Amino acid sequence: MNSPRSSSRRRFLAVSGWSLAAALARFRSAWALEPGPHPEPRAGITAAGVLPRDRLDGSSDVQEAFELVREIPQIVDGIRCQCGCADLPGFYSLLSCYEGEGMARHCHVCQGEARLAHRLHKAGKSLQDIRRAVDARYG
Amino acid sequence: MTFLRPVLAVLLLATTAVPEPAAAQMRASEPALVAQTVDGTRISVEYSRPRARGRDSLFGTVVRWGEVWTPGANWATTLEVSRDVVVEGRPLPKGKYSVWMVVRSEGDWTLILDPRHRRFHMQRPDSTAEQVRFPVRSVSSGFAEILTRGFPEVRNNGARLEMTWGHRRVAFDIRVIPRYERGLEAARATPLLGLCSFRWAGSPDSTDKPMDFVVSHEGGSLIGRWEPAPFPEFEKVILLNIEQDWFLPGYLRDGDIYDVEQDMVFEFAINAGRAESFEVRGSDDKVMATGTEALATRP
Repeated sequence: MNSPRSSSRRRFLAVSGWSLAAALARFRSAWALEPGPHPEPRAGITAAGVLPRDRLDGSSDVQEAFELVREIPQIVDGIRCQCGCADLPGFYSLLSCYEGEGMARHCHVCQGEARLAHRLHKAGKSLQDIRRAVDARYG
Repeated sequence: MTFLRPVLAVLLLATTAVPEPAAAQMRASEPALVAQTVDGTRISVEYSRPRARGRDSLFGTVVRWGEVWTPGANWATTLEVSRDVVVEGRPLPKGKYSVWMVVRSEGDWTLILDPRHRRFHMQRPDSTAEQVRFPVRSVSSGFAEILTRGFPEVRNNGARLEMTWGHRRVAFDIRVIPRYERGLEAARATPLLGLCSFRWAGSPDSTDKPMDFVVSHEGGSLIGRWEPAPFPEFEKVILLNIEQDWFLPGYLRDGDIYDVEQDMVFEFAINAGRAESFEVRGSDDKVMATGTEALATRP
């Protein structure tokens, strides 16, 4: 059984690690060449891997962003995250930012891209339109 | 014999170990990288840095006059640009190039950019149509022990790339293609023109009186003005079109853009051919401010 202290230390390291990754990713994007292509949404993709609400301890803004992604996983899976995290191992799409360690909890760009995608999807825009808008805003 | 086992193990490890990459070894001319981003275009130079090592006279002796020389050592110095640029008035497509110079005792030197970028310094390139060649001025300078490249001048539309070694300095200009078009044709600008009521959202100041925000078309560009200006930089911004009716504000000084606010997008809502409102959204896509009412009342 973990002591509260070691759990807290692990938690601190995890948060610090992801914060650093997000910061480095943002830094890297400033130096990056052109952003890579958007991924194709995987067939049958669902929001099953998106972090559940009880694992989100952030603000209501963070929780809202995760809720929006849960509604449109097939769209979010077709978008390349432009904060730079797409180059990290194991990442497939913007949806990946909301799974696993959930780096989107700490990244405004990941959250912004999801909000934008959701907003445009609700407005009837196609995935191509949404990708173009994401590139214009964050590319 | 057992005492020999550790020795044999060490020897075996030594013979099977993966060699360190060359970059991890000490070199007479150590590798270096210098890079500069200008308006979204990344310009980078990779080169090895020879030292004078007591040789006071480098050009004309170590580097002979008339020689085609890569300004570096070992592998040819490379210049890479992430987008198309213009070097000394000549278009240079995005890509990676080996860099060469024809050095002369008098008059201009010739700088050669060759798309065959992976070349050893002895593989001097023959002349091809794909090369970009242009004259560069070689000037006297204070003594530089180690060959140094840098960007002593960075503008909003380009930079100056410089090389110094020994008593010589050579520099050339690189102009980037602007990432955003400054101009917006009148037909697209007209529906957006007018006066509106601008209010920040979600800040303690949001209870303040709304400000006037005037959108006008000046000199072919879309211009926004706050009255009164919330910050000195915000007195007047150029609105740069990034997508349909979305715009980023660019800060102006003496008519030139010196900064583009990436995290503040103006999204105009068009209805029946006129803008009836706009939202300003941040990088988190949340609404930072709104512009409403009477957008078309005053040009």
